[in-house]
Amino acid sequence: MALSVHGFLNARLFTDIIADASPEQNLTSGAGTAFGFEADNSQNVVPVYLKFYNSISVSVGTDAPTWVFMIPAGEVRKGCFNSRGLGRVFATGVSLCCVTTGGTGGNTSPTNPVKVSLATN
Amino acid sequence: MSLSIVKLPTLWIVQDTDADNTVEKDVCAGPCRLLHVQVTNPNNPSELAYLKLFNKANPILGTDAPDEIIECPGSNVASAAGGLAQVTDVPIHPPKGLLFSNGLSFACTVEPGTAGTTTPTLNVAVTLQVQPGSD
Repeated sequence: MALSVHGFLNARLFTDIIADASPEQNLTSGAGTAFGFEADNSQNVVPVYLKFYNSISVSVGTDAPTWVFMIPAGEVRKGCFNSRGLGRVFATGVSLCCVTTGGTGGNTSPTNPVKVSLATN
Repeated sequence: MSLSIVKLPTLWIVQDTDADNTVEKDVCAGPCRLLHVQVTNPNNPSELAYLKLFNKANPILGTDAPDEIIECPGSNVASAAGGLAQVTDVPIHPPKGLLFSNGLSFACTVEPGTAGTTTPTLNVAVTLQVQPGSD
């Protein structure tokens, strides 16, 4: 992981140039709203899974993610949590990781770097 | 479950007005590309629903890892957010959609993650836009 944060008023953009099994925890310092993301999996030949947790402290592979997005091999995926502009409230906090399996289990990092950007408030 | 599929030449609209723990298996009868997801949960005031999508023709709910999980709040949360959050819209980018090479199956439960097979208390509606085939 290599996290940077940019903020303007209430909006924040988190960028993790190496999203992996080491979770980025409590990005919103408590409750927050996640609006959209971009995940670049162009350097891998297999899909990876971007997982979001409504938690401030995550045990990857054990805790159940509330959102999972499959990022196809060799592609950049852009996504939103609700296209109606509301985003999705994470009442406890926003944490994320990126691994090679979907669902709850699995804590293997992608082989090559996956860059993830996330917009929150 | 109450599944219907409207089949246009290159676009299928898959609707389940009562998505639950009964897995809707291989709805395209083969590979397909997922273009858009909508989950509506207006009937369960405080109950979160989780739509689980599998790149499998015959997944076991509660055991097999979903490839996508989408959370949809109930009407209490929706009211707090102006009445719109009970409908969760998730368009898929890239525009060509998300390939489910082994088939697209889905189910809806009240538990996130892989485990859990509890059906939402009241009806949750799911609409998927898919393009059959892998082109």
